[in-house]
Amino acid sequence: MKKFFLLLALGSSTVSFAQSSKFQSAIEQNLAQLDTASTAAGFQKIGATFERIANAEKSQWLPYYYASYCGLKAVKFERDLNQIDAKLDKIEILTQQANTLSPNNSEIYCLNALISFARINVDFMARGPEYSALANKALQTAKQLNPANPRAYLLFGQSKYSTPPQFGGDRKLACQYFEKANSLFANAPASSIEPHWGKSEAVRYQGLCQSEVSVAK
Amino acid sequence: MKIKLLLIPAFGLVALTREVALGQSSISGIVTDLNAKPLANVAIAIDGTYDGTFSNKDGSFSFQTTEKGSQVLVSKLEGYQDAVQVVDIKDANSTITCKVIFTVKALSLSNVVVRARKFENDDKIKAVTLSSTDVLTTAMDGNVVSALKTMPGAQQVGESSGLFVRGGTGDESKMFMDGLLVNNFTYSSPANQASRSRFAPGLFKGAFFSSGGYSALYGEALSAALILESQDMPANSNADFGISPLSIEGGVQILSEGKKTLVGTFAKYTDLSLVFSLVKPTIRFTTAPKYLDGSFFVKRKVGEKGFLKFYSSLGESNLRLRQSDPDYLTVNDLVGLRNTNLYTNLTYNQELPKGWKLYLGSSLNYNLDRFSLKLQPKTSPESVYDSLSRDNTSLLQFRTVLSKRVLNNGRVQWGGELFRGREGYASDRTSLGQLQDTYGAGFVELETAIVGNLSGRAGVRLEKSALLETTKLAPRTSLNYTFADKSQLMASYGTFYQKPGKYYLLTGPKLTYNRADHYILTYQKMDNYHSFRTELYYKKYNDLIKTTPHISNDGYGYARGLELFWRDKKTIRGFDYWVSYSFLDTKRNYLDYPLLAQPSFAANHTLSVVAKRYFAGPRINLSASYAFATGRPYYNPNLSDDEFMRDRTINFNNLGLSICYLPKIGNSFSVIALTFSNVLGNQQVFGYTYSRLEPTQRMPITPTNNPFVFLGLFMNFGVDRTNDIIDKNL
Repeated sequence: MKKFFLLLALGSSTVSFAQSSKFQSAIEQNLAQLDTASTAAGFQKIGATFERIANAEKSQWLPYYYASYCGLKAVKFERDLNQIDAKLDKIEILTQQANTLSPNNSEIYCLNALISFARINVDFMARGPEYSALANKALQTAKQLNPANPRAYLLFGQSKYSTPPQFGGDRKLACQYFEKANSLFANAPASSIEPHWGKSEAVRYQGLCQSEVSVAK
Repeated sequence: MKIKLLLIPAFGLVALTREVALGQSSISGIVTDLNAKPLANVAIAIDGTYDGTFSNKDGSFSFQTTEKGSQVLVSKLEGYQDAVQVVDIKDANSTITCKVIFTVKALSLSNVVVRARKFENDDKIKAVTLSSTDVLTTAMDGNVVSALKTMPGAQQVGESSGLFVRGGTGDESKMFMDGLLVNNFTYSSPANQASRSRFAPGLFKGAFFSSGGYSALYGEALSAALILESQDMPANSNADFGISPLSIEGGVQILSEGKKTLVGTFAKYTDLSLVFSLVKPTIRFTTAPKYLDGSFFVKRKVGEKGFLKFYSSLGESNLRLRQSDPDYLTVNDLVGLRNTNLYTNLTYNQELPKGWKLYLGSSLNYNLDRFSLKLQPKTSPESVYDSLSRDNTSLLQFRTVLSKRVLNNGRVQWGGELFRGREGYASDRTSLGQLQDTYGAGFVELETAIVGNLSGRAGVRLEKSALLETTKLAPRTSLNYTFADKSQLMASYGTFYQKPGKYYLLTGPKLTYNRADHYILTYQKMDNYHSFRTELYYKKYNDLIKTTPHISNDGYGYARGLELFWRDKKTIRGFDYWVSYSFLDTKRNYLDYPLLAQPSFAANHTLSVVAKRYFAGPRINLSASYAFATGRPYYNPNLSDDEFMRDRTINFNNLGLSICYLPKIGNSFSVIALTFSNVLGNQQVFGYTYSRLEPTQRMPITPTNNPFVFLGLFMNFGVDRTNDIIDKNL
């Protein structure tokens, strides 16, 4: 029965379906490029393509999400502190657009946390307390909205791992987060276009954790 | 669900093959501005499609498209209005070359100020801001006021505790903690001695020092407002401990499970007798100053968006000193000062839906100074005169502010406050009596973008004092133009009222408010590395207190000047420095002045330089500060009235050095601080006290200790606020 309705729905709107298949393939192509990108210019270019897709589609949150994510990747290469804030302002707008189209989306809250982390880097002492709190809140929400989102745990872990212990960092706790993230990644449904980044990072961090434990022993 | 997932890629494949079969057209060209200068990083796209690209460094671009027919090509670059043109793609394999030219520069506020919370036409941007790190690493003596004296507009007044700003007296600057007035921000001190602030710098997350033209939300201060925001929730429970030859202190703050509630307490005992026995002060203390302070605080998150803060402190201090009586040269004065001070501050902030915010606050100030004075002839141990006087102030404040985000990144704030105060003065011989006042104020203020890059703020404050039986309307307004490079030009105007000091209210006839009008022109350019700011101002004083021939509101005056501020964190890596320069021209005819004259607290030129560097390897923070001020006027009774305030003291020079070492002691965060003030041993004279009976005799007013050395160890267990001391480069 389900199959029947699905086919009916697909058949009755071939035009929009062709459109969505074009959308799907465009996202897939760009994600393939995103996986191999390693320079600021590379991320920027892919981000711009996602932005074009977003502007053309207008009703899809994913291209806004990926445009924002690519922007955040590119910002990591930026060394000029004055540029970082301006770029993050734009990224924040893209993220907000994604949020408008898909409210209460765990993945988008993860982006909000990434934005806060990037802002902390501009001025650690002055911004640390405020933006750490914002990032934590965003990640808490992300976890609540989807307790099976491995990226929420990965980001929690990264934050706890990289913060010096005097400022609230805790490597032991971080490693627990990475473990949780990895188990969630293992059980995550395979998807071609939904967000799925972070697995290799989580594995890498868990490796770091294990090597630290063995050194300690 | 699975079926859908399988089907979609299949159709995608069909779509792809179709695209290939149809072939692609190519669109290429070059992007330039009006002067044919190539523009890089321009985003070019066919409107409504996925097809597009970025321009290269030489402005060239090229991309493929499957679209056909008449299409709209949109090119976007920040700082310009979008370039829109129509391209005609005749068939599926066309090659189109086109030129994109940007003609119109965008000048809309939305491009300059992107985020709503970045809309900063409030006092935070008009004021030079000091983070708690800045305060901690600048004021190594733990005195918030010392850090503020490095800011433009502040005078290097060493004989009095207050902040003297732009030709204003110390009483004209008021301190606000979380929006509520702090009446006795510094410890009580005898005449011609400065004292430190009661509040530790670590209590605050930031200090906004507005040297004029500030918001209608604040009143009762003719010159300046120091707006302090207390710390929010810490990350963990923690404990502090500190010891130095001057003081011992300790505290603990406990964060509840779930991090919703924080309860903390802190106590400090300061006793200068050990230090004074090692380094002789210029004043003979018979009882060296002793201060005992305790505080208790609670912070609580209420629901998702509510925050409650309670802070309460109780302090006691005591000192006794002996000095030659300036009038009777054969007599010594034995002066004693005991102080009791209570300060309580309760605030509640609630964020509401749709951009509304509610603030409620209440504070209680209580202060009692007990002065004792004995006159003791130098030849006899018996005192010939004995008096004890009590100077009391209590003030209860209620305040509420409602704010709402409005269109164009703007904000409306309105609210009111009510003060109920009681002050008095009595000695065992005379009593000036007690006076009570109920002072109420209502205010409303709108901040908004106006047109293009122009934004503005307009506010008004209505004040009424039951005691003065007068109602005053104080308008405050400012206009702000933002340039393309984000620098700003601001023009501000404001009227400020302040009640006369209590001695005049107690002894004088019916008086009215003192009044100041500020006209300020500011230019500033700030980014994450540099701050540059210059201000030109004119301040007009009216209705100041005049004590001759009788107490009245006939005093008047003016202040005008130019200030420069430059801070640079970039040029030398890891090195942060700032320079403030103030030129001040001020005269007033008030109190017993026979004519319009430059007052004793005003220097014409003031310069302050602060430099800091953190060395991560040895974990040492070095900082140096230098202050210079030209000589200030002082009253010499040997001169005629025409020559009133003609004499000047010597120039003021002070070089301070401080070394902070951050050792690793167990699991704690520790700081060992070594501070020297007036390293070069420059002579510092703030003025002279003349004998009224023998005007040829005078005594210089000098700092109590000069030079001064301070060594202290401060430890924190857990995560804490003193870790703010680590430099930003860590």
